[in-house]
Order: sequence, then structure tokens, then C-alpha cells
Amino acid sequence: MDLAVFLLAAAIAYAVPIVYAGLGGQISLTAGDLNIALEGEMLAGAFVAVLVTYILGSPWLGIAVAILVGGVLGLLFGVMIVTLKGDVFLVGITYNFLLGALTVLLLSIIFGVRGSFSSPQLTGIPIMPIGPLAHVPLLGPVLSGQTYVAWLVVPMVFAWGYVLRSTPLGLRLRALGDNADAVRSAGLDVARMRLGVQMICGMLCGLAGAQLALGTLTLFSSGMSAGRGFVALAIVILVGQRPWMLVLAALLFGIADGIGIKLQQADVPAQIPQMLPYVVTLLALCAVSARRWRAARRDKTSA
Amino acid sequence: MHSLTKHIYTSVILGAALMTGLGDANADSPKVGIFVADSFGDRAFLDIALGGKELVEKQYGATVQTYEGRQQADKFFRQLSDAGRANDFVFVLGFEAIDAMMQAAEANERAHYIFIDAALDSPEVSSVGYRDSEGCYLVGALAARLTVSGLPLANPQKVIGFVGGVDSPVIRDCEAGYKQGAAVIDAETVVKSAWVGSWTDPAKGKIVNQSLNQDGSDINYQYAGLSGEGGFDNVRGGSAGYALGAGFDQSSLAPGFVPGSMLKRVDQTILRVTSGIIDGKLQKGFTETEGVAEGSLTMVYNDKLVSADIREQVETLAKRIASGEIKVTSAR
Amino acid sequence: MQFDAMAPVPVARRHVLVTFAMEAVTTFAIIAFLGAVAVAVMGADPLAAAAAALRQTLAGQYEVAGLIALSLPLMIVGFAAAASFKGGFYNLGLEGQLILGAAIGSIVGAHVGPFWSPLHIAMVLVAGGIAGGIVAWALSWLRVRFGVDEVVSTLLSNYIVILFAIYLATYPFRDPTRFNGAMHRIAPSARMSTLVEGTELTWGLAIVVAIAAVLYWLLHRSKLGEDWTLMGRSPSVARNCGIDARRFGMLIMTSSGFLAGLAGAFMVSATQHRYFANLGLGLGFDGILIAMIARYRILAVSFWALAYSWMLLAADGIEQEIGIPSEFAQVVIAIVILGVAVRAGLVSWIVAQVRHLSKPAAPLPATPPAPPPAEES
Repeated sequence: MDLAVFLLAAAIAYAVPIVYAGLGGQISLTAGDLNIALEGEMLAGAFVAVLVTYILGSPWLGIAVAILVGGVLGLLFGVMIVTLKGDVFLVGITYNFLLGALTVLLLSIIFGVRGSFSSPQLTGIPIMPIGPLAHVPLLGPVLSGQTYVAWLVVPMVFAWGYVLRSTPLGLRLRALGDNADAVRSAGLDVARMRLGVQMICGMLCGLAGAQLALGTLTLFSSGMSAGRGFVALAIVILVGQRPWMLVLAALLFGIADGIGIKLQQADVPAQIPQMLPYVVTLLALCAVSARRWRAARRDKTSA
Repeated sequence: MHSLTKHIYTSVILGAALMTGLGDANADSPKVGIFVADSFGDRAFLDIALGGKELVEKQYGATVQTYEGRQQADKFFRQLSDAGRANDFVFVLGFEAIDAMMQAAEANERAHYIFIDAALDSPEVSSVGYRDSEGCYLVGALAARLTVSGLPLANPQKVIGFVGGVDSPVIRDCEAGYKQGAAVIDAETVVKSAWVGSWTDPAKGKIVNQSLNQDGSDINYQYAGLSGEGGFDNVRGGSAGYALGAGFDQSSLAPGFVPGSMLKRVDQTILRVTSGIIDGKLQKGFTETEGVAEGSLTMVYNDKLVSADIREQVETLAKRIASGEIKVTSAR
Repeated sequence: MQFDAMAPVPVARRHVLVTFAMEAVTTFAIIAFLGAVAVAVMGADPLAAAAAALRQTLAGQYEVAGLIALSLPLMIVGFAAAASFKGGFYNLGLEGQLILGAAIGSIVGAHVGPFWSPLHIAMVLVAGGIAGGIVAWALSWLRVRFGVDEVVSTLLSNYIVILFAIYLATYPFRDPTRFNGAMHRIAPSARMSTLVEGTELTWGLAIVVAIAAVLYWLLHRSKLGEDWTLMGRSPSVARNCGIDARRFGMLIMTSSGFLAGLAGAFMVSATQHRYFANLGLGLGFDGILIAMIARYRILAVSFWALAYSWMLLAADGIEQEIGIPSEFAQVVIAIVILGVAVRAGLVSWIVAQVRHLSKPAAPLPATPPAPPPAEES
């Protein structure tokens, strides 16, 4: 395996769950709510996926129930911030605490173990065969090990991009984020829309967790989302409403992470190369912001 | 509402019955505390200590109370003080709690704390340290031997891997022992090390293992707690070599792909120290250091993957360490 | 509505102590109710649990002092969060700023001096504050200079800054007798002296009271505080009122970072006496939580820091005496906070439902009418 294959494969492995959670975050942010609970909802999805797959023996059922439970959790989150007017930050941070503790508690109640659970009976998401594509140099080895759920990212991002840009629904969502009052005066039920958005966000986080626990790995371990929800959130704010940029940014982060691992070989304190993905993302954020900033200025002066 | 009241009422009676039952059974038995600075469920050091709880309960009928610090450092002193008062003696695990423990020992002279994992040489507390580098030396020797053994998934390169949870002195100590053990088998063996940066991120742990695979390593030592489970997940498919376990016998995490594990018998230490204190052989203020010679760091092997002569070779090294013939340099 | 003390629009200004008393009563009612239900669900005795909780936290001077000691750093980081959020800046980097403050304070305490104790303690605290302040200042500079969103930049800065602090403790400033990446112990002159013997409560209490008093005056009683609030509500209005929004924004962020760093250094000087890897993890988000529940009011932050610490210790007490797993207590604490977070909305929702039931003739709205938005959030 050469270095490029490793870096790309690692980047994809890292990026897929982040992209799913990020899509949820992007939809939520488009509708005007900054959902900081991606981390916890993803963790819950991972737990449910492993639990159901272990009991029922089918990863597909595991994924389905993870999405379902994610939707319920998202809806509950929505009720707290929309219907009950809780602050989205406060509720989000607490939701992360809650789901973090709840998964550990259920792990010990249901499986009688603490920390992690894996079993030979736990089947992962099957890998999608890609036929002759597997023999293409570089791309072949990278793409041949990906699960069906990982591949699903592509149509999902296409679909969401299409919905966002070219459908009345996308227009409404964007309007909801820009100016909720205008949407309300247009006769739409703002509260119901925001609830729906949170439900979809939760479903995507459930899927992200399922891919993390049954695609990237085949196990559940307490706190296994390990900051991925926050990375997804950061990337969402970084890229705004552009779905493909989300994918690109997540891959960039994954590659930087892989390079950081490789740089540890230089016999330096490991903390320094471990900073790399975060530094790269921060620099990318600065570059993107500076460009936007300058463009906005130019518009202002030329207008 | 009625059913709720009823439920509460039932649980009151139930709870009361439960508590009196407990009280009667253990009136004279020793009271032992186990404090951990983090929380249980690390699938490593702390969970092994929890195994010690069961041993002590079974052997001595002791009442064992556990305390979890959850890394909230400002609670340590308070919890340790309480534990010191409520128990005959308290095992303390986690370097983060050393200062709080010393302070609690100063404040309450009657409390007896036994720190596990470092020799503190203090008259106010007892302590047991481990020469981790010795155990990791054996693992390094095993890995270096296996990488050229012609196992089906071993490549011809003399490269082995070490996966650490976070870069900290105690992990560097093990890494140093691992490298020395590998060098004893074959000075040309290359040890590649990588750190996950977390004890609880198995997905990242898997990528770190794949990075080592890409460097040519076919056998990686998982010294990374829950993150190490990503390393076992990595080999489970049968295309990424082998993984070596630490702490427990971790062969069940990837059956058929774990040639061996290094056991760190914290549970036995807890049992032994408990019996020593109860028999009066160990007094407050003792300091011990344990390693291969004391049987606190031992190897288990999967005989299907490790041939008798390899096993023999590693066990001979263990004997030479135990006799003091081999001195493993510590990096602590 | 008696228990609607936190309602967004208080009709008349209540005395601050009355508000607190009501907050305290409602909070403890919520905690007691949910806690009792939870304990009963686990099959244990709620009364015994309540007794255990009270015994562990309020039984005597030792328990109360321990409770206050635990809450002091939380108060300071809560102030830090309140300062930035009230001014309209979402500083999610408090955790990193706190940890860097602890690391730098620890270095100053161990490698500079010893000096006359009050001076040395002040140096430790100020050094930690400056360290946290510099991080926040740099990020706020990026925000005003290039429009770099501070939510992301502060969130990402946590990882970088914490890794850097751990590096400092593992390599250049490591105490070689410790094996977990711990710095040298600070000199005795840099340690705060104990206020209540046998507990961790130190004279740092006076420092926190002083900080709270100054911040209360600055943020709630002075012209600066009005501008601060105005910035939080609408930077453009603030600009029209003649405030230099850029410089003021940097001031808000930097002071928030300073306070966070101070909180970290405070932990080092008051209780921990050194920085080590893992110290302070989670405190940043705890501080945000506390500040938000308190709606960025300084005195309410102090109260909520105490209440939060009380919950942590009470949960420990129940865990020890009744044997309920600690995750369960965490779940209950999280549900309590969620309950508190939505209680104003819950009350108005119930009111709306009741009204709507009592007036069957009126057409049913799909959702309850929106109560006025929260004033300061």
C-alpha cells in the first residue's frame, strides 16, 4: 500500500461519518439553527445501530433503527428549542452530556459491560463491490473497501444540493434561515418546518453514528464519536450552504489527520503533529473568510 | 399518580430491606476502597483493578466501595478524604490524584492510601509501582520474532508497530521497553510508533494502525485503551496482520489474529496487598515495585500463532529479566 | 405564575435577592422531583437518597466548605462565558483558554519566584489570565479583521491550545518524578492559604467575591455594561450609538479569555498546585452551561455554579451511600438542566394550552403563540 492510498483511504474513513453529521448540521444551519448536539446524536446513533444489529443480526435493520431513533432524538431536540423556546446552545450542550451518559448507562444495563462492546455476532455494513474499477491504480484500492453507506454519501449530497438550490423547499429553508418573519408572513408554519429540519438532522446523525460503529469499525465504545460532531459543526460553519464543499472540507480534514499521523514518525512530541488537522482547518477558515470579506468590501465600495 | 406513589412506597420498603441485609452480612469484614481518577470502563488498567474488587470480596468477604473521580480534579481531595474515613484502606489509581492523595493523607493520619502504578517512597502513604518496560520488553521480543516467522499474514519486512494512547512518559516507558525487546531478537528490527491522541477513539485508533501497516508493519502492539480496540478491529478482517494486546488477554477481540497479550495483574496486586495488610505483613508506608519477577507482568500466547520455540525464547527472556540478568532501561 | 421567576419579561423590577430566592426554590423543586422519580425508578428509596445528598453537601462546615471550593473555578469560567455571550460573542474556546491559563500559571508559580505570597499569587493569576486573553484576543482579531467566525475558530482553537498545553507539561516543563505529563509543583508562596482547615476552601474565595463584585458593577451598573449589552443585542445599533464595534468586540472577547485563563490559574493556585494533562477538561462547557442558565447575570452565575457543584456532589453522595451508578446521576443532572433550560417555554406552552382549552370557540393555532423572545439570549 503506498502513501497516497493510505492517506485517501484514511481521509474517506474519517470523512464519511463527518459528512453525514455535517449534512444534518448544514440543513439545520440553513434553516437558522446552529445544532451543537451533532456529537451526542451521532453517539446515540452508533449505540442504537450496534444494539439492534447485535440483537436482530442485520446491519440494515441496525441502520434503519439508528435513523429512526436519531429522528426521534432530533425531534425531541426540536421540541425543546422550537416549541419550548430553549436556547439552542444550552439545550445542545446539555443534550451532548445527556446522550454521552445515557449510552454508557444503557451499555452497562443491556450488555453488562462498561467501556466498549464488540462481538463476533456483530456484522458490519457490507462492502460495495465496484467491479473492474478495483483494478484502477490508486482509486481502485481506495474505493474497493467502502461500504454501501459510504457510497450513499454521493447521491445524498447530490440530492441535498439539488433540493437546496432548485426546489421551492430549498428556497423556503434558506428563507427560514435568513428571515423567519418573512416566511411566517408568507403563511408557512415556521415552527413545524424547524421541527422537521431537526428531525432530519437527527436522522442524518443517526446514520453518521451507524456508519462510524458498523462501517468504519464494528463495535461500540463509550464516547466513540470523540469530537467528530464538533469537527462536523466547524466544517459546516466554514463552508456555509455548499454541500460539496462540505465533502471537500471533511476530506481535507481527514488527509491532514493522516499526514499528522505520518509526521509522528519524525520522533517529535506527538502533540505537535496531532494539531495539524485543526491548524489546517483554522487556516482554511481564515483564507475563506478573508476572501469573502474582501469580496464583500469590493461590492460595498463599487456599489 | 396513585400507581407512582405505590411504586415509590414499594421501593422504599425494598431499599430499606436491601440496606439492612447488607449491613448485617458485613459487620466485621474489612472495608476496602478503590478510587480511580478517571472512570471505569477503560478496558485497561482501571478495569483490571475492578477485577481486584471481586477477588477481594470473594476471598476476604470485604466490602469494597469504588470511587470515580471522572477527571474532575477539584473533587479528588474530597472523595479521597471521604474514602479514607469510610474504609480501612484505599487503593488509589491515576497519577492525577497523587497530590490530592498526599494532602488527604496529611489531613487524616488514620487513613491508609495505597497508590497503585508508581513507587512514591513516602512514609505517609503506601505505594506499588510497576516496571512496565519489562513487560513491554517481552512483547517487543515476541513481535520481532513473529514478524519474520513466516506466519500467513506476516510480511518479510522486519518492521513492527507500537500504538500508544497519548504521548505521555508512562507510555514512552513501555515503548522504550518494546524497542529494547525487539532489538534483542534482531538489532535490525524497525519499530514504528504512533499515538492516537486519545484513549477513547477506536476509529482514529484503526487509522493509526493502518498507517503503521502502510509503513510495513505486520504486527502492532495496542497500548491505547479503548482506542486500541480499533487496532483489533483492523486485523479482524484478516488482511492487516496481527495485533498484540495489553492489560487483559485481548485475544477475544479478534479471534485468530492476536498472537499474545501482556497481562498487567493489578487485580492480583490488590488481592496480595489486601492480604498483606490483613495479615499485618504490610504496614502503612510500604513501597514496592513489581515487574516480571513478581509475576505482575506476564505474557499469554495463542498457541496456534506462536510456535513452541518462539514461546520458549520469550519465556527465557522473562526468566533472565526475573533473575536480574537482563536490565531493561526505563524511560520514565 | 409563582414559579416563573425566570420569565423573559419581568413586569416590575424585583429585588435581586427575591429573584434568587425564587430561582433557588424552583431549581431545587425541579432537582428534588426529578431526582426522586429517578431514584425510585432505579428501585431505591428517594428519602434515603435525599438524606445522603444533604449529608454529603450541607451537613456541616466541612461539607459546605468543600461545596464552595468546588464551585469557585466554575464561577470564574461562568463569568468568562457570561462576559462573551452577553456581548454577543460565542466564545466556545473557554476550555482551551482555561487550560492554557492553568499551564502558564503553573509555570509562573513553579519557575518564577518565590516572592511575597500575595504578589506571587497575583502573578500566577494574571499570567494565566493573559495567556487565555491572548488566545481570545488573537481569535477576535481574526474576527474583526477578516470576519473569521468566532464560533468555529474558538471551537477549533480548543484542540490546538489543549494539545499545546499538554505538550508543555509532557516535555519542556515536565516534573520528572511524575509520569503523566505533569508540571512541577508551584512554590508555596504561589499557593493560596486554606480558609477552612481540612478542606480545599482557600482565601481564593475572597478573590472570586471581589471579581464578582467588580464584574457585577461593570456589567450591570455602569455605562460600559449598557454598551456591552447593546453589543450583544445588536452590533449595528451599538455602532450607531457611537461605539467602536470592532475595538469593543475585541475587548469583550479578550476579557472573556482573560477570565477563562484566570479560572485555570485559580485552580492551580488554589487547589491543584500544578498543571497536568487532563486538568480542566469539560470545565469550559460547564461554564457555558452555567452562564446560559443564569442568562449572563453575574450574581445568577455565582448561584448556578454553586447549584451545579451541589448536584455533582449530591450525585456522588447518592452513588456512595445508595449505590446507584454514577452515569445514572449524570443522566438525571442533564435532564434537570434541560428542564431548567426550557422551563420558561414550558410554562408559557402550558398556559397557552390551558387558555386554548378554556376557549374552545377560538380557531386552534397549530403551535402555541410565540412568547416574546428571551431578553438577553
